[in-house]
Amino acid sequence: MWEAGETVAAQGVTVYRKRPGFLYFTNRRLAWVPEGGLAPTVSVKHDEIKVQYVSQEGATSTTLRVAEFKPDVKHTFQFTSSSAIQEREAIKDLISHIIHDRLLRASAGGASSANGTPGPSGGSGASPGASSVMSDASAPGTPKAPLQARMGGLGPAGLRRGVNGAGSVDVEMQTRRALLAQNRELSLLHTELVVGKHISENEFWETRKSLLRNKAAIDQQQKGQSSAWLDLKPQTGESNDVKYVMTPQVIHSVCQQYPSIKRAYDQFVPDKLSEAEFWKRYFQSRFFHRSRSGRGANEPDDEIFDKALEEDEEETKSAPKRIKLDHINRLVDLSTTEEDHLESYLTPDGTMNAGKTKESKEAMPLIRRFNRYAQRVLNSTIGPKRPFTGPESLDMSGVERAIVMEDLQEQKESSKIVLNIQDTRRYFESQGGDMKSSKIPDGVDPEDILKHFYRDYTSHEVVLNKPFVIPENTFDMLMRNVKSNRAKLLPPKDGSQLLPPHLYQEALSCHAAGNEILRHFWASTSMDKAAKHLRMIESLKKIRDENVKSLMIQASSLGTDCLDSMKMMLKPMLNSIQKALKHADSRPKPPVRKLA
Amino acid sequence: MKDISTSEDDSNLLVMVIDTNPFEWEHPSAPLKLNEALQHILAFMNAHLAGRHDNKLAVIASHVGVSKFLYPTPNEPIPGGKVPTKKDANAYQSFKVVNEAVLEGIERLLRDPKPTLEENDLGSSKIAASLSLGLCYINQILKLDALGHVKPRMLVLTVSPDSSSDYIPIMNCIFSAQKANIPIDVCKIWGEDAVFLQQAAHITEGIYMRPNDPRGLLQVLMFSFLPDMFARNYLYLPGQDQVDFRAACFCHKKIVDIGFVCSVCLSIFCSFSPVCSTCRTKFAFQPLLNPARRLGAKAGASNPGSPRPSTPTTPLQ
Repeated sequence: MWEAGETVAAQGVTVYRKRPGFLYFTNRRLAWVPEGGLAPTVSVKHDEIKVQYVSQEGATSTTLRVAEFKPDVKHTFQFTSSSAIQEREAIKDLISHIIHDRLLRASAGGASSANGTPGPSGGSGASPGASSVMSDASAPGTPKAPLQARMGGLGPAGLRRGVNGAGSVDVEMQTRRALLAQNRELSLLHTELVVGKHISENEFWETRKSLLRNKAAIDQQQKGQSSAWLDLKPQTGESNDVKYVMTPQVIHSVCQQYPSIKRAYDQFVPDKLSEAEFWKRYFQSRFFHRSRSGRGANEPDDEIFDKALEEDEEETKSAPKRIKLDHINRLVDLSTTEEDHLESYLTPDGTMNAGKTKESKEAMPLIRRFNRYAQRVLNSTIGPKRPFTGPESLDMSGVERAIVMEDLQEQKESSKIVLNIQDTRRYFESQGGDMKSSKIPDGVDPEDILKHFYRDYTSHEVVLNKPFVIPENTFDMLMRNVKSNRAKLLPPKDGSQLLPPHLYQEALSCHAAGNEILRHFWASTSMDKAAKHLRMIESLKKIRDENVKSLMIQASSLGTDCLDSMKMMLKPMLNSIQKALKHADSRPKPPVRKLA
Repeated sequence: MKDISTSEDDSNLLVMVIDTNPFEWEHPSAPLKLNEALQHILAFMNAHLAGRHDNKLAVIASHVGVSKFLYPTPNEPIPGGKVPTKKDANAYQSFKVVNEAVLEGIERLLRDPKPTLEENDLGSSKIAASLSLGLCYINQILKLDALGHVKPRMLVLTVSPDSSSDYIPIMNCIFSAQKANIPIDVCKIWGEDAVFLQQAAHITEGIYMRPNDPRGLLQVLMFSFLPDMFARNYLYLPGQDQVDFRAACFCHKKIVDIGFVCSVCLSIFCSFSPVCSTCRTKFAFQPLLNPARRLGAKAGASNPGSPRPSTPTTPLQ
């Protein structure tokens, strides 16, 4: 009743459509099996689950409703056993994990869709990073809905790690499915081999571990925090109302930008003010509107945010604390050479002093604000700067290392092995294969040859107007040569041009399947995999006798050209299969001898 | 279509290297005498010059122990009194100049200084030296040609076998030619394939020919080597495009597919030996498995999934 590799994570006794039965949550799907039944009558794949609803605690019945992405397909399960609530909670949590994980994936691209917000009872705190909480009130928005992400703490990254830890098998399954969905060729091959029962699911993936690893690594890659300066823009809805959308991301950015807001938040939420109330007051406050034109001081007084505003302005007004100069690297510390410059007639350069002119004075708070923000973003990514540890910087070894010049050091002779080739002639001869220099017949003095050659040359005059005698086959030879070169230069026709597309596709997938099985065949030659080996032999025979044959028959019905090209395409694979089967035949059948 | 910049109006510079190795031409089994071959070669030279009014030609003789320009003769006054030897009213002057320069040059080469016969390099032709001369000459001409209209190429007519001492110089020439975009055409008039020159033609995208009958030399030359660089873009030319780059082992001169390579001097051996016979490096280990045996054990070695031999000495594929 279960697919291979499927494991049950939670189950419960339920009534579905007035029939008693069992609800199972496996690593692939949610399945319901009627009492006494064998196969699940309801089967919802993880990816098909859109939303779940649960009944309120304390309600008369304990139910779980699951909606699929297909419109209007909903299943309601009523838990009936004595431990109904526990059973339901277990399944509910698992489902919310899945929905959650999917939303995280979706929101990774920035587009978070709101369709997966868990039901009324709020699926166990599942939504940070994913659901965009819409505030629908008029004028400055009122965020509602649970915002459980504490500021600066649980980002999407932390949460994701938690999900991945849940079950490695489950994760691998998901990775496999995602890979198949992304890669069409792989999925075709998978259909051909696994669904065609040539090899098992696990064997299929065993040879593709690197793909899985790669995919998992990509999935686990954490996305850094956006460093953009937050610009909260209201969405203008119908009837001129203004709506602010607060996602945890936005809240995080606000806190990042204004530490005074974060302090206020930490102080008041959720003890004294509700989350929503806090943000509502924020949007109404002078703090929020000070940088916006046209609103002036119309905002009502608000002690929380007025105080925050004060703090904020105080912070930006004051210059940052001067850096302590104790730990400056001695090599770049200009003050150490100050006494050398006493005699100079130059006045100190004041142009680079910030805040001296009127314009720069006005710009200072803004610049400081940006700088602080940049610093915070950096710190959140790389961690705060390590505090200086005093004694280390005074260590002379760093200075010494910097002032010692390598070129002035005595070079140590590196120990080399001298390449000592005995006979270079012999060395290069091998490049030319078997060769010898011109042979001089034995007993003949080279001098004589030269003399004779000279005599020969001078005695016969080269006459150009004498007719040439060209052997007839020379031209044939040249033409043959040209023709064969031409054939090589013309682009070869391949199956995609010679075969109709669907047949070509089939041939391709047959070829891929054959090669895959061959790979498994050769990988299973060791004796401890004898069973698999036998299975592969059967599969190879099946490919040869069924798949290839049927392709040949189809091709031959389309004419001899088609058949020829089909033969040409599949020939290398058939040869390989032939070799593999021959190898299998020549192998000693019982695993006795070769093991040693 | 490798060189877009060729055009119909280009003038072509052909640098010919003629192998005049006496020990080959005078060998009892030689199918052609030098005089007879020269008749073909001169006709081909004239054809090249006739192709365009501004076609240029240079001829270099690759002799035993020496390599010399035959045409144009640099800084050598024509021996006195012999200015126009035979008046021939029917001869086209520029043909005549070239023909006589080549014939006389060869005569002088054969008569004058006895080629220095080196002990271990007896009777090998100075192909590398000639290639260098040719490349230098081409470089000189190209420098003078401001418009960039001269399209050079080289043609080597050889009869001698490869000389192993020439390997490095020849390879250097080949790579220089390749860099300068100068194709080296090669015609091995008879005998075994000239492996080095075959590689030269292959690397520089020239044409390599080994006519099956040297008596048809003129036809081969005209057919294969006359078309200029521009025309080559549009022609299917003869020539062999498959060059045997397989390595032979140093011990038996046997072509090997998989062998042992010395990690110090890169010598190739067909079987493992604890001391490299070329550079005397000692190997203090045993190879895991004889690659040949491994290969034989697996008939379908090219199949996917078959293991590859991994030995301490790098297997040569």
